[in-house]
Amino acid sequence: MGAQKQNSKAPKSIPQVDGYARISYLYQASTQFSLDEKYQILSRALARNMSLVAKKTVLRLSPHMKRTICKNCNTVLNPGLSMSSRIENKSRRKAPHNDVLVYECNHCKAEKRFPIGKNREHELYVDKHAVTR
Amino acid sequence: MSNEKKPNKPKALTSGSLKATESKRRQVFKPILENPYTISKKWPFIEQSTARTILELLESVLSPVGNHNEALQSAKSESERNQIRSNVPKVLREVTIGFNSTTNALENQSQMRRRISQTKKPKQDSKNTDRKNIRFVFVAKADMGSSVLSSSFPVLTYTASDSKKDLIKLIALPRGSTTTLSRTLKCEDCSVLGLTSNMEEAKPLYEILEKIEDLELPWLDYLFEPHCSTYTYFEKPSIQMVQTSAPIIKKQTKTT
Repeated sequence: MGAQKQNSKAPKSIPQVDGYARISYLYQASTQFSLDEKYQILSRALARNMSLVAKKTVLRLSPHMKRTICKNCNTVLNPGLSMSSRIENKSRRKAPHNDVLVYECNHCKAEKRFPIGKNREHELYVDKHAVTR
Repeated sequence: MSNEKKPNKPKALTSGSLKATESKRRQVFKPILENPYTISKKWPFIEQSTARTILELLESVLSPVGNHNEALQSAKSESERNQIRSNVPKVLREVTIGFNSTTNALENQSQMRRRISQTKKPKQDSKNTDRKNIRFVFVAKADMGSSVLSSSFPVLTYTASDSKKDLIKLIALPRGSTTTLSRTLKCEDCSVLGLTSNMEEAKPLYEILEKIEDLELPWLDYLFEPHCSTYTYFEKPSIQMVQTSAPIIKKQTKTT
C-alpha cells in the first residue's frame, strides 16, 4: 500500500458510520463462516448480503475487500482454501507484458484476471490517494 | 437517413470555455471501507543485515540448480539434454522456483491438511507421498511492483501450515534479490521460492530462518482449532479517506 499522506483538510467525522459498521460485520462473519466446511452456504449468503447492503446504502468498499469475494457465487476467496492463483501467459513468445495473474474460485471456477504485465508498477487509486485523518 | 443519430447537443456551460469548466473542480474526501483484515501489514519484520545473510546462504545452497540449468541451456542435442535431466541435483527436489510452482505446492499442502483434518486420519499418510513439504517461502516483495502479486502469500502460507506451533515461515527478500537469484539460478522468474526443511547442506540457513517471527493472522486461527467454541474475532471497521475531486455544479434555482 502506498504511503499515506497527512492532510488536515480531511473531515473528522464520517457520515453513515453505522452502515460501514454493518457491512464490515457482515464481511467478517462471512469470512469466519467460510473457514468451516459446514457453513459454506451461510458464508455465501452473508457475502451477498454485504454487497447488496453496500449498493443500497451507496457506501464504497475498497477494491482490496471486493477482490476477496467471488463475483459469480459470492464465495469468500481465501488463498489455499477456496481459491487457487496462478500466472498465465498465453502469448506465443511468452512476452512478459502478457502476464496475467488469475484467481480462480474453487467453488464455481469463475476467474478474476489481473493483467499485471501491462504495468508492473501499477498502484490502485485508493492506495495512491489515501489520506490519514 | 432516419436511422442516423443526431449529433449531441452541446451542454449548456456555466462559463465560456471547456478548459475553464475542467479546471473548476473542488477537492473532496470520500470515505471508503477498507478490508478489516489488513494483510499487507502482517509481513514479518526482518532486519536488513539478516535478510542479506539469508540471501547469501540461499545463493550458496541453490548454486547446483544454477549449474544444472546452465548445462541444460547450453546442451546442443536432445539426447544430451535427456542425459542431464536424468541426474537432477538433489537440491532441486527440495525447492520450488517461481510463482506458479510455489503457490501450487502450497495449495496442495493446504488441501491435504484439510482432507486429513476432515477424515481424522493419522498424519503419517501425507508424509509418505512424494509431494514436497514446503517449510519456508521466500518472496521478493520489493521487486514485484504491484501488490496484487504478493498479497496472497500471508494467507496462503498460513492455510498451508500444519498447526499453529508449526507455521510455515514467510520471508520477504530485500530489494534487488530477484536479479541476484536469477543470476545464480540461470532462470528468469525467481521472485518466489519455496524450500523444504530436509536438506543437510542448508542447516545454517535453517537456523537463521527458524528465528524469524511467525505470521499473525488471528482471524484464521479457527482453521487450527475448529473445536474451540470461542473463536469470535471481530475487528473494528476501518474507514479510509480518499482524496479525489468533484466538479463544481451551480445550484439550480427551484421553479415551482
